[in-house]
Amino acid sequence: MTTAEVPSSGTQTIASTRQVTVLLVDDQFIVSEAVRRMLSEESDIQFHYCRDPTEAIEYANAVSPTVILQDLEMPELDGLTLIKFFRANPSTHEIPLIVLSTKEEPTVKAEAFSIGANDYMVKLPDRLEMVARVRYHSKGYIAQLERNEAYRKLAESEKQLAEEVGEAAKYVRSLLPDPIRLGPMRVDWRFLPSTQLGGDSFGYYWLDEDHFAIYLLDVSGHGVGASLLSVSALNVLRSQTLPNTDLKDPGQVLRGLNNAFSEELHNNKYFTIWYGVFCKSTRELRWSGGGHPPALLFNGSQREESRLTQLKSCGPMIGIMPDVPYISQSVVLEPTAKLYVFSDGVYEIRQVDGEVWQFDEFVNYLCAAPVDAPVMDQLLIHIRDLQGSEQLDDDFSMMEIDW
Amino acid sequence: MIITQRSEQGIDVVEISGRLLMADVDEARSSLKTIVTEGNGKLVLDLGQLSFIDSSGCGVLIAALKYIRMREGKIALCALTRNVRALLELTKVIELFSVFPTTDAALEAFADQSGDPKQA
Repeated sequence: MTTAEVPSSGTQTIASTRQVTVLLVDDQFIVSEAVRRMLSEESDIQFHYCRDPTEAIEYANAVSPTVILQDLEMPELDGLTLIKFFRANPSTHEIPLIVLSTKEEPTVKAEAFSIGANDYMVKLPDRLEMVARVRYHSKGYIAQLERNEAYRKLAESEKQLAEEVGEAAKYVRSLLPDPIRLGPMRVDWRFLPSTQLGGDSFGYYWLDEDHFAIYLLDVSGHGVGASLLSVSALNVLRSQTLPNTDLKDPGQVLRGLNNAFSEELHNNKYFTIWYGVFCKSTRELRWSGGGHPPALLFNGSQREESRLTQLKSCGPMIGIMPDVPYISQSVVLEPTAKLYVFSDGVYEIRQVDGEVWQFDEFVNYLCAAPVDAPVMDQLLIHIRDLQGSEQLDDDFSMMEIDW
Repeated sequence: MIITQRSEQGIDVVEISGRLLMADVDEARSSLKTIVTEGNGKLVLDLGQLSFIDSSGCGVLIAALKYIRMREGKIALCALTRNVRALLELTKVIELFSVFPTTDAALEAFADQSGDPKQA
């Protein structure tokens, strides 16, 4: 046992105290000597003694005991009141407290427990019992401190991770083009990254004066890794650096992406993509899809008479099988046409009852929406209702192109 | 989701039943990886009791395909339910696999060396 009767000048942090440390508060010096002797053979137990109960809190704050022993009858301060003080003081409110008293009445013991004592010993117990109880309570408290510390570190790392994901989401958002609100072709979109980031990204731009490219991709998995891969694919498209690829030919673009990424993607990574090119002079929309949900085209001579066509994928996801012969398909747009391109995050919604909303239900929902309704905003409200929470499990990415 | 495995004629038959959703992905992928690593490169996935699959679950089947391909083995899907078939068709993943109406039909095709199951 090591003994220290004078509080150290610095304040120890509780979490760094791992040694069994006893603080005895008792006005009788002889009791302190008796306890000191009991613990004297235990080399790993540090003993502190505070004779004045009015200084006990300050003393405890300084020495950070792993267990407090205290008397109930002291002239300067009633022992039960001192227990309350210990419990009210933030740095001692969880430290195990053993009452060491001459009183044997059950009512006194019960009251001590009711206001926060953890144990009770009648003065003076056998040395073996004293050491055993001191060790038992200290061990539990030290384990609790270690758990708290581990939890704090975990919370810190989760916070850091959330910040990184937030940064990645901000970066993805910065790469997304502005909506096109005026002109013969309007493009609007909604992008709500999930807390984990789902790896969605999209873009559109004029390839030349006559051809407008539209694409949306979704990388498998979640997290910063999925998001960075998504951005990497987006940059390949934006920089127009796919070798030997005519960007006006969607099938060629998907074959080019598949060749570029098949070798690169590991650890079960792949992505789905829908890629379309609109030719202004012919009103032809050519598209190709790799494992992606169909884009939905409402095509008609008038808004009220538009028919739904599903512009489906013609091959599996990008990056899982080399040499997939993705082809281009095409459709001619009528005077009024509206196209929705989206990721699976807009319809694979886990509902409150555990069932999953499915693609067909999503299609029916869009078909039932009134003409010119703000469909994307209404859909967001609807799926939040379905899942019973604001936060989405997957990225919500949806583009609406209106001719 | 429940995964059970048995061996028939030296071929691993793995039944995935219940629902295969995002929450099951890690467990399912890890089980299939172990089965493929320890097996002899022939895998039949019996999905007759798989009532629902989402995009993440679809990724599990793709993972199984990749594990088998690393071993230059063969893989087949059988007994697809309506929901599962719908998603595999929507994503065109179905084109990557040989698909059979029953486990027996898949086993028969495996047994016949000139049979249908695709060399992954």
